[in-house]
Amino acid sequence: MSDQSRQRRYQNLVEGYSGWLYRYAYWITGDATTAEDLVQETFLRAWRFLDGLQEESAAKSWLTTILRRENARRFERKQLDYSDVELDTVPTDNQTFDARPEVLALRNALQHLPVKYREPLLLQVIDGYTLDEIAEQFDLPRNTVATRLHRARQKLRKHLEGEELLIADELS
Amino acid sequence: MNCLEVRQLILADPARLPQEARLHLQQCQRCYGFAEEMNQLNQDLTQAFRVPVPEELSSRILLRHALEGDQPESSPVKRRGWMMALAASLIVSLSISLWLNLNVTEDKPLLAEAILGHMPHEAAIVEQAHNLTHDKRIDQVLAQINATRQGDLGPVVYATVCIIDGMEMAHLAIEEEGVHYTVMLIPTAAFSAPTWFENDRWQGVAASGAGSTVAILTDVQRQRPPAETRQKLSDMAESYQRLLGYNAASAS
Ligand SMILES: [Zn+2]
Ligand SMILES: [Zn+2]
Repeated sequence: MSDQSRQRRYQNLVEGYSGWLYRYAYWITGDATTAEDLVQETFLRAWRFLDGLQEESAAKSWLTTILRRENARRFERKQLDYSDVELDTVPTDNQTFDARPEVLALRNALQHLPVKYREPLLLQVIDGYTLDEIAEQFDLPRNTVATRLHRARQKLRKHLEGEELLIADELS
Repeated sequence: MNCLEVRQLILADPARLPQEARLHLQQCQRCYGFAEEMNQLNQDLTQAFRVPVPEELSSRILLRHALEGDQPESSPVKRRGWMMALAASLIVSLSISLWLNLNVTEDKPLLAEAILGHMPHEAAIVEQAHNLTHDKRIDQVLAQINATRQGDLGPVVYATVCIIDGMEMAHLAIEEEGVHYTVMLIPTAAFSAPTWFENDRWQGVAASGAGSTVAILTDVQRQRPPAETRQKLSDMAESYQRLLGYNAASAS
């Protein structure tokens, strides 16, 4: 591949997928600044391994895999585990959010959801992944994925109901 | 298929129910209502997941790519440039010398060492990049360490939150009169007295006030005479202490 076409291909990937990757990173790290750093790292790595991407149609899942690996490396480097993320780094920049109450309540509920539930939900809802595709992406049995999604929705529902009770309480 | 089985399928993937489950919904009002609710949840989730993407994200990625991402991994050509030589020399000869014989405990030089070890992370991005940041970004970064600006922080060209030695800190890069400074803002008092540290590439000072620490580093080589540099760094550390306000950290 010529240098120029390699550059153009890369630029298309950046412009086409940085938004998706940012949101993905945001929801697995719970933090806007870390998410951007993670997307930067992902694209640096993607450039180095660009020739490994055979088909453009596989680009999104290829990039998502790189991002997930980069995130895992981040944890290795910092010797943290996922529980730290859920508890400590809930985003502070609420002013950048869509402010409708139902969306805010749901975002809040999502932030309380462990990453292992949040991540497959994101792939399913935003990107239309099937259970089998998620199972493949995470290298997990299909049943495990189904159970996680099942629990994710139950937990969200419970959280939102709790929220409604609180609001009803305030109004009464 | 009974209600329980159908509900499990709905919870796992409400948008793709098998034929058998859909037949059940036609006959069961309660499961039908549940499926409706979960489909509505899917729609709300679509909105909730769509957090705003930072402006110019693609441009920043491409800029960074232009600055440092020019060698494919498979290429036999070694990555050149001062960055790599620098990283290597740091690993080989990371030595901290305390210029002042101050009463510091063991862990503080370790943090200073960790900060020096962190410098190549920044150097790669900042060396040629300008105007990569703006006030909103700086405020977001500061908010993460529970800090707010009390005044102008000067020409900040880079801002991010880094975790060094297990401590979350704001990492700012400042470009002033052609000289590059790195400012680390730490929301805990990590040093009991001002501490000087250096390796063959960078020198810096770290000082703590009430509940916070500022560390300022700059390049060793293209600098003014050492005494003057130390004075400048001390002054900067002092003014950054004044310029930042820290909220009482709620560590719960
Ligand atoms: Zn039923
Ligand atoms: Zn940093």
